[in-house]
Amino acid sequence: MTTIAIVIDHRDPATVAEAWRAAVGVSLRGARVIVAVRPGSADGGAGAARARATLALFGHAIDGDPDQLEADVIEHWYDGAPTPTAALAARAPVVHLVRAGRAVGAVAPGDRVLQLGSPADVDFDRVLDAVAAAPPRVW
Amino acid sequence: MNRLGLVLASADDLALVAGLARAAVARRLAVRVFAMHAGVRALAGDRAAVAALGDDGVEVVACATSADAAGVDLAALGVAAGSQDDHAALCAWADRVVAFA
Repeated sequence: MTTIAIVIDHRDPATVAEAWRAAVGVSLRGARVIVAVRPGSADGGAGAARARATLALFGHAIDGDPDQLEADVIEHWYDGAPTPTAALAARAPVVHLVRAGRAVGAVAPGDRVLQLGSPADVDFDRVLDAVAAAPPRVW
Repeated sequence: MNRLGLVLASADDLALVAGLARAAVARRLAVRVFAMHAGVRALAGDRAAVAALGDDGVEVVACATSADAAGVDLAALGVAAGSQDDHAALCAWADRVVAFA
């Protein structure tokens, strides 16, 4: 079974609501869903509350740890605000893809970090090689 | 990795999605894109990029709910109108998903 993690790490209420809508959405084909909300994220309002209740009702995890996720797909809804960078315990490795002007958060042993920079300068073949090796998380 | 799924939910990352898609197509990977939230507005703002994805054989589907909210005419853009079910389907189909959100 595919596990899909939705990490909510955003201070915009409308975007947080969309992330919760996406979390329900990705559950529609039978995947196991984990939602992890970074403290300090906005409240997504009534829509988010409904999505949270729906996911819980169907047995999905709605209280994941944003930094200790093990998932086949990681959707990181992130606004670029600074995040904790503490060293982590071992978990399944991921590749962190870091967009221009952003910084990676906590990194676990075995993780790989790739700086994307501006699109014109990105070595997309290198990114694809890294993505093939481990699930990506975009910062 | 044979199938790459790309999720675009942010305003500023279409160029990264397009670059990854093009590199994947060059490797003969199958590529699908699902856009929602601000990603739909990003598609509407760069018709050339959308056309190039289509020319490369990349299937692009956008969330109709997001498009309605943003006033984006997906048909005029040449993008299929979809739903969150397409989002789930992309995640189930792909060997890897890269999500820009």
